[in-house]
Amino acid sequence: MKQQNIKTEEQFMSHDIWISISAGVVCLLLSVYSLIKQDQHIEGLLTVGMSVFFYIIIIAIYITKADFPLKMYFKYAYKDEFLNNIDINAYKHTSFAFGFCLIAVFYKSDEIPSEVSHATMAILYLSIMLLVYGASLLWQSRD
Amino acid sequence: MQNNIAKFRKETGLSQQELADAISVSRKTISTVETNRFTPSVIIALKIAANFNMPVESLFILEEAD
Repeated sequence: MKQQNIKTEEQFMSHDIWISISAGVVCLLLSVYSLIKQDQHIEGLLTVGMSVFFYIIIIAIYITKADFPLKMYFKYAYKDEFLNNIDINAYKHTSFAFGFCLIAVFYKSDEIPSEVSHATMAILYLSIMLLVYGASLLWQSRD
Repeated sequence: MQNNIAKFRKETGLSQQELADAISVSRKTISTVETNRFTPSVIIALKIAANFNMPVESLFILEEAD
């Protein structure tokens, strides 16, 4: 395997980490906002919608500027042994976090207001998974 | 499992990136192997040993717990 490909994989993982963490934070804020503000007005929704829209634009610019080959986004495994290993571990951590989250919601379901939509809960699960995936990779790839 | 990779790498005056380039792995592979946070495959272990021109047993030391 060419060394250039390995360096590209390293850079790709670094981008992956920060995109996962930032997307996780945005999803978490979005879900917490929805959980707190049950009586949502159109002004509030517009502000949130515009913020998410701008975030997506920034991420799109970030990804475009990185200029990675498109096929890298659809690959299941890294060719470098260490990167592949920590990626698999991160998926395991993510699965555990999701399972733990589901169990917590199952046991605490009576405390969750009935107005909270499935979409809000789905975004909350997604945010936790993204945050755990990003944090796991960041922790494992430390020097 | 302990290893002497950092010691031999410094003796030969190589940086982690240079060693990584020589055996076609990421720099983080070298970094985490040196700090015993990642146990490499036989292939990587043999490549590192070949790079230093020494047997693999000189680089990696098994502990009683292994």
